[in-house]
Amino acid sequence: MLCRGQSIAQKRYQRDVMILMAVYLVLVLCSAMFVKHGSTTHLLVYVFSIIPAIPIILLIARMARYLRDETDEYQRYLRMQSMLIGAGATLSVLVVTDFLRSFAHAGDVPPFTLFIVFAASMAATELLQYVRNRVPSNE
Amino acid sequence: MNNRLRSLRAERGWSQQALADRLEVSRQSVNAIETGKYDPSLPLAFRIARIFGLRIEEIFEDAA
Repeated sequence: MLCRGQSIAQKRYQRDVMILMAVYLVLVLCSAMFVKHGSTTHLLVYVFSIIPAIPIILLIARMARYLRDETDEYQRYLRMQSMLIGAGATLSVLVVTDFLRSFAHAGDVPPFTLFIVFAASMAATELLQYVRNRVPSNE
Repeated sequence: MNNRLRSLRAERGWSQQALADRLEVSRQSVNAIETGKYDPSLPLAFRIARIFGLRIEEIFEDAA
C-alpha cells in the first residue's frame, strides 16, 4: 500500500504529527500566557502546566499506532530501530544525570532535555538510515 | 541469508519499483532485501516466492 514512495500509514502518521505539533504549539503559548498573565490559582497552574503535555503523549501513542498500521515490514523495522535508539539514548542520559545528581550533587538537567535527547537521537538515526538506504535510480 | 532476488528480477526485466509494487512494499525494502541488509519475514518471503513461482528455498539460502 504505497503512494509515491510512502506508505499510506506513513502519510497518515505524518499528517497526524503535523496536527499534533500545531495543537502543541497553540497549547504551549496559551498555557504560558495564562500562567504568566492570568490571576490563576495554584491548582490552575498545575492544570495549565500539564495541558501542553497532552499532545506530546498523544504523539507517543501515535508512534505506537503507526507501528501497528505500517504494512511494509522493513519501514516498520527502521522506525522501531530509530525509536529504540531514541529510547536508549534518553535512558542513558537519564541514568548518567541521576548518578551525577546522587553522587556528585550536580544540578538538575534543564526542563525538556530528555525529550529533546529522544527526538534528536531518533531524527539522527532516521537521517543515517536515509543515507544508508538510498537506492540507485537505475535499478 | 543470501538470496537470488536481483537475478530473478533481472531475468524478468522488472525494476525494483515494479517488484515493490507487486509486493506492496517500498522500493527501499526491495533494495534492502536484495543487498542483504534485511532478511524478510516468512510471510513476505512466501509472497516473494509466489510472485516468482518458486519455492522459498529456491530464492533464499542460509548463509552459514
